[in-house]
Amino acid sequence: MPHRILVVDDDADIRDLVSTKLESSGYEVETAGDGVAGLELAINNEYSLVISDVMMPGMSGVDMVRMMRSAEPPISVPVILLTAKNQERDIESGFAAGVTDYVVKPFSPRELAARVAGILAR
Amino acid sequence: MLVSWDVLAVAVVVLVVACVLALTAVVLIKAARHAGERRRAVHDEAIRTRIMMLAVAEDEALAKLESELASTTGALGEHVENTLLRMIPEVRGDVRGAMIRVLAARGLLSRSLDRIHSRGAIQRAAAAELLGILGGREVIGPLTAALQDKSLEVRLVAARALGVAARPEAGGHLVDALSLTSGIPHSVAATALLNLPEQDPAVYIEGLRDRDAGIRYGSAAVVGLLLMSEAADALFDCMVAERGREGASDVVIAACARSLGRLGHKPAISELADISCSSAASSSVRQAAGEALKAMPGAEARDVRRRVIEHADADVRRILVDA
Amino acid sequence: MENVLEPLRAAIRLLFEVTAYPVLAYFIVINSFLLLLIIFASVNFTAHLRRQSFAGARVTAASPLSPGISVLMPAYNEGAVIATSVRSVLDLRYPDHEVVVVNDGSSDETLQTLIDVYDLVEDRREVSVKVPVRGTVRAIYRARDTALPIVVVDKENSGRSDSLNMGLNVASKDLVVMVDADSLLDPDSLLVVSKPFTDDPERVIATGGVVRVANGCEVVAGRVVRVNMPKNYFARIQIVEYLRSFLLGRAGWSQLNSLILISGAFGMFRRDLVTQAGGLDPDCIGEDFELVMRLHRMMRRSKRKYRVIFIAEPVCWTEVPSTAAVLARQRRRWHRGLWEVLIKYRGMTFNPRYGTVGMIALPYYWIFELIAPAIELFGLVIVPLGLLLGVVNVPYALAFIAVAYLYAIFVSLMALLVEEASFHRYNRWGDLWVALLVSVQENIGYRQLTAIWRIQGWWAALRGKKQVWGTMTRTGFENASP
Repeated sequence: MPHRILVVDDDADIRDLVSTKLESSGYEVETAGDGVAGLELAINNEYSLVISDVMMPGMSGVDMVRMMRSAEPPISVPVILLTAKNQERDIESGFAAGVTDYVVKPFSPRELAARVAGILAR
Repeated sequence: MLVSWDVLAVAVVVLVVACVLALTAVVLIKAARHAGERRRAVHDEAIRTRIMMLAVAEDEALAKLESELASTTGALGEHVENTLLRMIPEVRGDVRGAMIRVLAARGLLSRSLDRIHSRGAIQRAAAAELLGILGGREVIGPLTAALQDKSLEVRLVAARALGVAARPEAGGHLVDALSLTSGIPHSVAATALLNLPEQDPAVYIEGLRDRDAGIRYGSAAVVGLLLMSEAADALFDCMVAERGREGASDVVIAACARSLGRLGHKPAISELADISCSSAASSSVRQAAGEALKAMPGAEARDVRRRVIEHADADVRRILVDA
Repeated sequence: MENVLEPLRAAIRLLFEVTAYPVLAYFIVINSFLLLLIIFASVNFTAHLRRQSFAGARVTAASPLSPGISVLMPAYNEGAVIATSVRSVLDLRYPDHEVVVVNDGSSDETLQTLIDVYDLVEDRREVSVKVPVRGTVRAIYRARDTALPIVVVDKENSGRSDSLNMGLNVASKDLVVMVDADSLLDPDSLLVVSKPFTDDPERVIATGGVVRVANGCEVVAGRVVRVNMPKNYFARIQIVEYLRSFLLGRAGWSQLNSLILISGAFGMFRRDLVTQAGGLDPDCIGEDFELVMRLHRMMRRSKRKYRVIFIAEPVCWTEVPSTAAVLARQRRRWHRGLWEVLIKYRGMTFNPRYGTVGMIALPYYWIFELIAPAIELFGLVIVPLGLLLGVVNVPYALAFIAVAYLYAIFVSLMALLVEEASFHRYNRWGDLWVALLVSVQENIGYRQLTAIWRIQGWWAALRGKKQVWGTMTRTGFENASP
């Protein structure tokens, strides 16, 4: 059975690019356009991995992870955050919130797919 | 005497006509925008999957996809261009290269190279922005030329675009663009410099000795942020010289201090301590020196900090107390 | 009976005859001026929109050299929203910003919430006093995690202005922006409002953002995620009112480089200059307006080149009063503030030394902002009286009223047109019909009510009453129901 991956980003271009790349690598991908929708999907479904943008209207990616980890029961799925350059603060608060890994924008879809494969192989 | 009937009647008629015209304009603009959105949605439907496939396709399939996207025409072609221009800044690696090749094959590069010489400043600035995104060796010449444009706006956008294009050969030109006479804000030119690869410290060492305060400031800031330890001595000399200079620039001293702190250049400790307590320095300079002292490693720095706290003003003490 | 009414009729007729031409002249001038502002605003918008493709926000957002920003947030009994507000500011897209919350002696859990949520510890370091402050400071806190850029000052209640002054003393960045705890900011708001400072660091001293109506919008975690027209009658009318005054008024003034009113809900300033000017005046009701006037005076007197810039892009949303009582209080307060500031800076009016600010902007505010409600009320009394006493006939009175109100509707339509051509945040057709309805509706009732409230505010200022409306420590939105 293929791994199911959730992609959360408010930018439809990035969402589609990432899901196209991951689908071609044989994963099953679902998407959400903001943190609230992403959280809802993560609570009601079982994913192998979540990839999320940080800056989104409404709930930020870091907030979403924080709420996933503090949910009852907690959702412990690994999360990769997509963050803008020079936003070290996001990285710090993200790790504190329980983020697994980071990819800095501008990002390479190929590298992202490699990271995904690495995390799922663990 | 009352205002005559005729005046009132004319006014009412004129106003009613004006209201109807304004309303019609609002409705037309709204309708046009909605129609545009629908048209874009149709184009998106037609082409989006193929654009996204640029991240997946390889070799021959990729070449075929690229030429297919490049040969789109009319409104659909415009849609492809806009989508790619939106996406390029977000990605790097192979897919970025593929996207730029599609745009170049569509003639966007040659169009922008033409447009950077157009009459309107807004067109020139927009062209400069595009050239920065497209990048490559051939855009550096026109962009550095645009650093001398008669419109400040174009000069500013060109400086930023050189940073986005990120070619090492732009370095010297951008250092020149730091000068006060260029009118380009220091932060813009210096930010562009931060983005260039393979930088030569000699350029900055020279910049730190330049007669132009803007160039000295920008060089000092960049040297610290890029952690160029080769330039630390020149940075220190620059700070000392600036303090003794007629019409010394606060921003230059502050930038030197901050960068010395970032580099952890220990020989600067006593000078920084002196600045942080000096009544001749402005409050912002004292604080910058305090920040730099705070960042200095080692036992000597700790002792100096302890000493400085007793003499410094409240703001500097505030910075140093918890170091 | 007849002989009692006759002198009255004669008096009214005389009044009509004496005032007819001055009122008409006033009308023509104010409307021509508005039209001019609309033209200037269009120039401003066209310039702004044509530059959108090369605004460079992405580069600024990632640059370590972008000027640092201290976000000053006074808080009085904001326990319910404070944690979200602070979080939403910390999450704004900007490379270097800190949040300075000044707890203005809240009697609720505002401070404790902040301490708990952000793991604050007491900061015993002293603060240098650059701007005098009245309220006694109880303690200063910061986050145990030093990477979290938040400072909280806890002090005794002394009002919004004094709290902001305290914030100025604690702030450490080059730029300061004043926001209210209940303002909703867009993720890019700091980037957008600080852009003029980056582009022209020598001359730009202040920028003011647009304030938009948050009522009815869908809000998640302190961000507006979907813009809607509110159902509430008062809130709807204020949408059109805000579009008019911001999109047409301030954009026009900014183009003339004579912007004298920056909204307190989202104004950004150079910290050194605000400190040099002495911060906000805690005794002034229109403290934001007063500060900008003081900066204008300071810069013009020292003959320095400077610019105050209006940012048209909507980035700040605020809850507006949705009941007549709260709205009345706000408008009385605004008009009282207007009067106080105009009186305080009367020496600048018609003074060529102060350039377009003294020769155009201030006279405009005197004649067309301050006096307008008086003229409105005058018409409201005299026209029915004239009708009643048969001095004027019905068609004439109707035509007279039609001219006044049609013009108001026309200006509202122009505001809608500009919004439609520029930012079009109200996307649906339904929104347009509501806005149209409201543009007509506001002339019946709302317009007259606000005129009365403004006169009341003015009257209160003239009588020198202090604190007539209770302790107004906040902007007056505190009772607004969400």
